Amino acid sequence: MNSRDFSGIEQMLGHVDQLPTLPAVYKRLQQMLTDPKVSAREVGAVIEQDQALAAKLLKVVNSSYYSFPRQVTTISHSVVILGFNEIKHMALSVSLLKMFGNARAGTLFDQSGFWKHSLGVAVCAGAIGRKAGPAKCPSHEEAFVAGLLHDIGKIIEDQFLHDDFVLVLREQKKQDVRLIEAEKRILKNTHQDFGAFLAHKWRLPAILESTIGFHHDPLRVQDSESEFAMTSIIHCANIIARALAIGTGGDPYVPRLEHQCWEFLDLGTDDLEPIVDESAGVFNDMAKLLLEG
Amino acid sequence: MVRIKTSELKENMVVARPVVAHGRVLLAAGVAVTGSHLRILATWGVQEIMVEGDPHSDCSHASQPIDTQARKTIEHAIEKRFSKSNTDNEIIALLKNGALRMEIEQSIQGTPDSSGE
Repeated sequence: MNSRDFSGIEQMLGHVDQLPTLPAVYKRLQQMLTDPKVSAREVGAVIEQDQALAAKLLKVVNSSYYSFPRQVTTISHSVVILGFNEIKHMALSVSLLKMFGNARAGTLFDQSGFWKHSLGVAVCAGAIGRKAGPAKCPSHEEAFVAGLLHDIGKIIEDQFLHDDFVLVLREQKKQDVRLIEAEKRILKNTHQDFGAFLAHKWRLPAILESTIGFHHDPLRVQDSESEFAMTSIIHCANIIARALAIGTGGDPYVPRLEHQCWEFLDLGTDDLEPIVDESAGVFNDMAKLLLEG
Repeated sequence: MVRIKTSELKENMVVARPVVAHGRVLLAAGVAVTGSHLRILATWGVQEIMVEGDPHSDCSHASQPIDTQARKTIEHAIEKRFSKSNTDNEIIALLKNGALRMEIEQSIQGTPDSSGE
């Protein structure tokens, strides 16, 4: 992974102890999965300790995102079908939406639109991952959680640097620039930096730290092919979700596409339409489950 | 979206896929067909094109012209949305066409989009 200097970010946040903590269930699952003898039943039992999480996870497993031919009725069955790591990623996704997803009303930053956008990128990343195939995307669930988390730095800015972030939002509107440009002018850092910092603090896998930290500058990921592949997926998914105006990322603009990313994923022009169709279809289903339910 | 013979094509039907002849784009997706377009298609010998909705159905949206002002509003919004992107890239150009087509369809069908903007 490209090493990143977080000293400036730490100085800005100062009160780092107040930062949100990693969802407990994910932490527990991470620990458990280092044990090769762990069983699906044991993993299921940990998730079922949080009944709301377990219920929502089952709904996701039975949604159009997976389109399994038969209904999956237990968490341990979900673990068997999806695999340990995949269920861990989905548990993280559902927990994060539970933790952050309650939109604050009356703020300049549209949190409801933000989570719609994040979920749109997650769904689109899954669709791109399926098209790209297992060599480029071994886990659709990892692509999903990477999409959901890619802009998490904006939540850090909104919650912990609120006054400066209001200035950023005003600058974006006044100068009609992309949010990332306004961030650079006001904060001298971007949501990529704050998000990567949080991922680092949470000790998330390096691949997630990379996608969060470089989804607007994917060509800066040079050390690892798998990190470049996942960052490319999120870079493209972000562009597609913005093109389809799914939610809002803080400005109304579609970013520039680094064509190397699309090519690296072995995607052609013919692949775009099925990815868009799948994303648009699955998004409505997942939004009902995860954002409204 | 359905395939239709150009002989059955009528004014105000909305083109669903770009019409290409001899490497040249004659009509872009999302365009409402005019009398002049019908002549161009005949000149280039285009036999069939894809249009929105089902023109043979009584409840067709394809035969309903989209209000000119509504269309301009959508085109303006799409232009602005893509104004900071590299529209000379083929994927971005396809996305732009697709977004225009989808939003015109949504406007005809009265479906609200999911955008918070």
